[in-house]
Amino acid sequence: VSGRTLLVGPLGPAHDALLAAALRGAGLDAEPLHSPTDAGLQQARALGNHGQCNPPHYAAGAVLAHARASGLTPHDFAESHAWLTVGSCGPCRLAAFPVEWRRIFSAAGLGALEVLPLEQAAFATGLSERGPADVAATALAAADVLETLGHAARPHAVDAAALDRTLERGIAHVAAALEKGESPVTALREAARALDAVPRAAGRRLPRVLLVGEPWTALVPGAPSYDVARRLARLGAEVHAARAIEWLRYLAWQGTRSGRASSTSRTASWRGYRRLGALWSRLARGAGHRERLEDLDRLCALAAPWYPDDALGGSGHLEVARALAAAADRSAELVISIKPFGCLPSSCISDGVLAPLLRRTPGAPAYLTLETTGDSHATVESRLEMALHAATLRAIDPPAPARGVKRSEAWSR
Amino acid sequence: VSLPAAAVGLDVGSTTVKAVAVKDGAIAFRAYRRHQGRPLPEARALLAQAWAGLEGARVAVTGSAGAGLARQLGVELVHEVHAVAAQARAAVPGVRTVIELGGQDAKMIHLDERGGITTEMNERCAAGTGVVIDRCAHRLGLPDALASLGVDGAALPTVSARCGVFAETDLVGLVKAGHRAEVALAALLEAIVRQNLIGLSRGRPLLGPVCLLGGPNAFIPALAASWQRQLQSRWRERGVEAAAVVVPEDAALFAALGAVRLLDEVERVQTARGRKTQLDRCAAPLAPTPARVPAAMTVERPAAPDPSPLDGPLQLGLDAGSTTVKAVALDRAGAVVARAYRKSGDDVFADTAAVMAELAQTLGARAAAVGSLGVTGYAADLLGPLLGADAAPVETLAHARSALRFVPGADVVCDVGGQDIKVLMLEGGHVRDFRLSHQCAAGAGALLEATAAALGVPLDLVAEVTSRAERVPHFSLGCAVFLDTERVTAQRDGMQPSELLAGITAALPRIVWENVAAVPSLEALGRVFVLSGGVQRNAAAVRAQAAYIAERHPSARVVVHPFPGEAGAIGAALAGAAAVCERRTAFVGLEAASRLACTAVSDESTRCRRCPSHCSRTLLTPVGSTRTLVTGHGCERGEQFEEPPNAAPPRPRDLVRLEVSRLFRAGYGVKVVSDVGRDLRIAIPRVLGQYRAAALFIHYFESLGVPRGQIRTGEFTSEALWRQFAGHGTTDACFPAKVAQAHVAALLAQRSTTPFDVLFFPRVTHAVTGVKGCNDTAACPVVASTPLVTRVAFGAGADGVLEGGVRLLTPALPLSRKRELSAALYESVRSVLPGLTLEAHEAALTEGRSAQRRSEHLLEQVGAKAIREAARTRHCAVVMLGRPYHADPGLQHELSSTLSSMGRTALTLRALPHSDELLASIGCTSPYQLDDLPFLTNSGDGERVVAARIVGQHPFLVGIELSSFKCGQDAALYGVVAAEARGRLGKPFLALHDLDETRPVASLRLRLRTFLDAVEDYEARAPRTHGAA
Repeated sequence: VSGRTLLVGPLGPAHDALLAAALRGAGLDAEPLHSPTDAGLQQARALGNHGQCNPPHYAAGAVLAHARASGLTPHDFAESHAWLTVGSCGPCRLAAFPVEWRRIFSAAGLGALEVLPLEQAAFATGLSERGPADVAATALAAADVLETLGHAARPHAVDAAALDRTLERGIAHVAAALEKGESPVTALREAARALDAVPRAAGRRLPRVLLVGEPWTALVPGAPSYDVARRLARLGAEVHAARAIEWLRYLAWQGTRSGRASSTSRTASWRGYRRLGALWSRLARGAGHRERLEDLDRLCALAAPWYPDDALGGSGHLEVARALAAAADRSAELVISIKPFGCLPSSCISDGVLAPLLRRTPGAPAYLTLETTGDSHATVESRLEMALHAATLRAIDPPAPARGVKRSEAWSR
Repeated sequence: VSLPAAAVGLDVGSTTVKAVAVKDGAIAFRAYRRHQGRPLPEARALLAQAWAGLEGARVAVTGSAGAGLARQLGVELVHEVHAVAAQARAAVPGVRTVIELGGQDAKMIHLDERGGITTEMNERCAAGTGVVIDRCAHRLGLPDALASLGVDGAALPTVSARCGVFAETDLVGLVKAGHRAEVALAALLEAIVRQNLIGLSRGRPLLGPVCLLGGPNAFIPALAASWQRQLQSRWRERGVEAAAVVVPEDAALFAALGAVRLLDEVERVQTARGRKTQLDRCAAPLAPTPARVPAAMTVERPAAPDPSPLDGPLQLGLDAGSTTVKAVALDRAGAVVARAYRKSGDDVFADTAAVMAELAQTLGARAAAVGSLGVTGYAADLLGPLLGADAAPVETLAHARSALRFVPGADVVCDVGGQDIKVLMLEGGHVRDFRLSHQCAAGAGALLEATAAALGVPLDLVAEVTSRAERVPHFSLGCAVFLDTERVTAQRDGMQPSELLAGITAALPRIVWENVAAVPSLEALGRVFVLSGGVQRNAAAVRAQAAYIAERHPSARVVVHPFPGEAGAIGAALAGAAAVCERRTAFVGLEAASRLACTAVSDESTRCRRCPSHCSRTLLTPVGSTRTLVTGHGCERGEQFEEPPNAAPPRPRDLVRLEVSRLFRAGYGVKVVSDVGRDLRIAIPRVLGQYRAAALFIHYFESLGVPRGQIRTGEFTSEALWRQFAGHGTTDACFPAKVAQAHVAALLAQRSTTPFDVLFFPRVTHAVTGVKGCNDTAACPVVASTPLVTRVAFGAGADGVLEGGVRLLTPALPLSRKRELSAALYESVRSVLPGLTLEAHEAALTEGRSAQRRSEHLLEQVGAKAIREAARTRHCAVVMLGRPYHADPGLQHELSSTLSSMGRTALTLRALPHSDELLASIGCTSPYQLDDLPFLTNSGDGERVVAARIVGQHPFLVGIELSSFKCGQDAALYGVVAAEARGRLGKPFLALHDLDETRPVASLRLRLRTFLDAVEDYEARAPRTHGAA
């Protein structure tokens, strides 16, 4: 990519900004990509393959918007830029996003744009203490920490807009540290303090909502996810949202279990798995956040009878596992599964597996699926309102734990 | 929750406002009104009436359009689902399910004994709701018949209700096929109930008592009766105790009453969440864009040539379309002498007779001088023989011919009719390629017409009205019903009719070019665009088309056909004249045609019994004739009323049927290596991954000593199977995955007659494909995970034991990885055969593999022979480029069999040669090394590309791409497969995407006929020599 400006994203404003800053710190000319929008989706879809799911179109639409805003001709833009992005939205085996992008960019006159799809599992297992991938992983983990702090504070903030402005300043502060090649811990700590200082309303009893589903859609804020995490916070709910680092850590963990992998490859996976965990601990604790990352062995055991991790596309497995863990721990009043329309790994899971499983589990959280089409935001709002009403009632008066029923009994039939 | 002492409840819905006033715990006022698109003023007026005498009482607002009123009044909005549930609990003791059909929504609310509720509702589509019933009743000319409709459900034909527009298309087809409009409407109600039962229950058992709510349930007794009938039968089938199905009093007021009951609860919840009404900030408004002045493009409107005053034989053309019947008379020079036009009623014969009579009247003395007749349109097959037509060209070709008559250099013809859209790409006076809207009327004329009618704008004023629009709302593309839903949302947000219509017309060209034509560049299509079809009569639609084309292709010429509405009829007339040439016309004459009438019989005696689907058919007998015609049949097996004679002409072999029957048949002579399985009774559903390896599994078990008679493999997919056993598991997946659960249900239901103890439904995670150079050969995630859905859907415990004691085995089997396959299969089978040794297992697996190989080898041989024969006779064979499970006749709408009846050999890509030797025997080189597509990881992707390359190489193979609705896996390679299959010869290619449970008989035939016409055209210019062939 020498001589070209590297566009980074879209994984969300925080992730893109920090990743670009970290790459600049490593000597590359990088800038965050425009945020994906519904208009971009439509534009890319018009040039692309109509039957395709929407993540590649949202992403390509963001590139088209970036190109337009650059003021360059399509040819000059394509010749002077490269695009670093995730090669698929998560575990999906379509592996066809690059083909789709090639089609769209050619039709838009951007055929010469160099696309660098990131192979996620290879990235997760290629991590080492001081490797180049580690710089990127640090940026992603720092963005996860900032987003997590934002999600925790937003529903309680008296003025959510003020909180978001503080968060933006925090992102810029951490980006500056990464660009200088410094550890982001100090900047994160300062950002956390600034967020703590935003006035909070007292006495709210908010329902807790766990977001599961397709990793990219669940992670990225804005249009591709109906901005569901922020929307929920505004409506009055505490949100446990997806994190980039948890998905990467899961991929590394999967690598440690692969029966076909060589011992060298398994060792690399172990290294990546531990490194990601350590990164999170260091940065989150630095920012005063004590939450641990999920216990993947436990999740795997919980889901095994119903949706084992050997089922293709780990996101389906994680979706079931996380929801069952929330039921067992009583850690959420509502689980929302979000996915793009026509998403293969998630297709049968929501109504075919998870909904009936949660129905037969006493005390399990309520469950809602959102399929993102890029249209009809109004009905999404109504569905969230409906689900939150019941979830709030449960938060106010939690159902009594089922007595006399062993968990093993509760899970069968 | 009891009613408060005093309160007012308002339910502001998408089409009506309902109000109640409660005084001293009883209802003191009730009102129900349609708001005609003005919900707020109507709601305020009703509130003023309800409020009288109750000043100071609290107000509760609910309903899908209630947010605006709640905001104005400064009160909380009660979600309608909670409101309805609260009232249902109060009004129907012990109620467990509420089914509410509204104007645009359908909901199923499940109430548990602990006070919890879960809701399923239609997402963003109005299918299965009041608006579809209304539209269809209106369409059939029966808007007032709903309240008194009463037809026995048992004798009803099948219509689709998965999408409102499909339903409408089906109904039009039924009526055109001779069914009475009342029967068609009753069939729709039955289908709507069935669809909602499957779609909304999402596989959960529906418990009674059931409370039916909403306008359609309350006011259409036949609908409520259909619920009653279908619910009772479902309970009976599943051994659930029968319960009451109630349409309660004041059903329409339930939400308003429930909202009043929930006033306290809502206040508690909102306080806990620390928010007062914030909907104004949260609801994402539609983002209207300022109206743009369309880019300057001159639309050409060539003048129609004047008819010659001289006498001479006339060329008649008839286009019996989906929404209108048109007839024209041309003179010898092809100028239009007379034309007649009529909106279709419920009797296509009467409509045809009427336009023929009108034509005769206009022509006067010249009526006797008819030299030829051509017919086209949906009902052409029916009318052609009755009228003595000289030609019956398929609509697409009729339109091409007609466009070329007036615009000789036309490159593209875009025909937007009442129910469908056709885009024809022309080259040298032939149809080079074509695209048709997929079974759906999105963007077609009916939508514009219905919207204008709903807004009270006469159709001919639409152009003028839209020119007044100050803003143009951006409507999404997609189905017409979605678009209609968005239109109503925009209306609620205060958009004016002119703006709404401008939004709809602006969406039309996007639907045509982005959805239907799906071409990234208009420039690639050529320069001269001809617009035809009834919609082009509308200046607003033409303007929108021209603006769209101008923006993307500034040098294009846009020409409107001089007779846009009659373009098809003109093309038919020209085809009729060309067919007659020197011989005499077979036309019965205008006088006889004006008296055309038929008697139609459709009852149990006419039902087709030649397959388990038992399609209803109609027997038509023209008045004064003894000849009978059959219509409404689902496939070619039902074409003849009597048993087909034994000496029927030989047909090409349907190799796809041969493939599937061999695949699931034991009989490759395996060696029995053990008797450990002698007592095992096993069932293997005939679905998904089994189409890859059924022979392996069946012979593996046989080799373990399981007697052949104890291995059951179920049936193929059929409409009957789906109708009877649908409703388990997922509704979110593609049809092949959804129907897998129906197959399992059918096997379980038949256990009393054919018992089994083990249901073997492996997860085939990786396939053996023969394709080299790709990253992986993984199965589609949906295919691989469907057995896991079965586990949950049929109530398996963690141990995999289903209710009734059947053990479900769902091992993950990577067929391409020998060691892993063996280990996983061994572990799984040993759990039901504890005595199984590793040696016996390995030996049986070898036997199974060998049987699988033999079955594949045999198929290849048969396939190669058929391809050689195609080359010898210069008669193309058709390769169905789909997934292995598309060999199931029920998943490909019996396409292979239809092709065979049309004289074509059909084969799947598995019957294509794999070995270099066999490939050489058909004159092809091996394309199995896919080094240029290394990123492919899916087994079926690689296979489809390779097969498309073989098709592309061989001059006498053509491809039809098959893909099921929602298949993202296939979608990624649509363009690649098409380009490869067309090959360097630019052969015809047909894509049938979006296959699902609905069998679109008429549109499927239209596509096939257009495709096969193009194939015949191609055969005439195909190369004379080809390799070894």
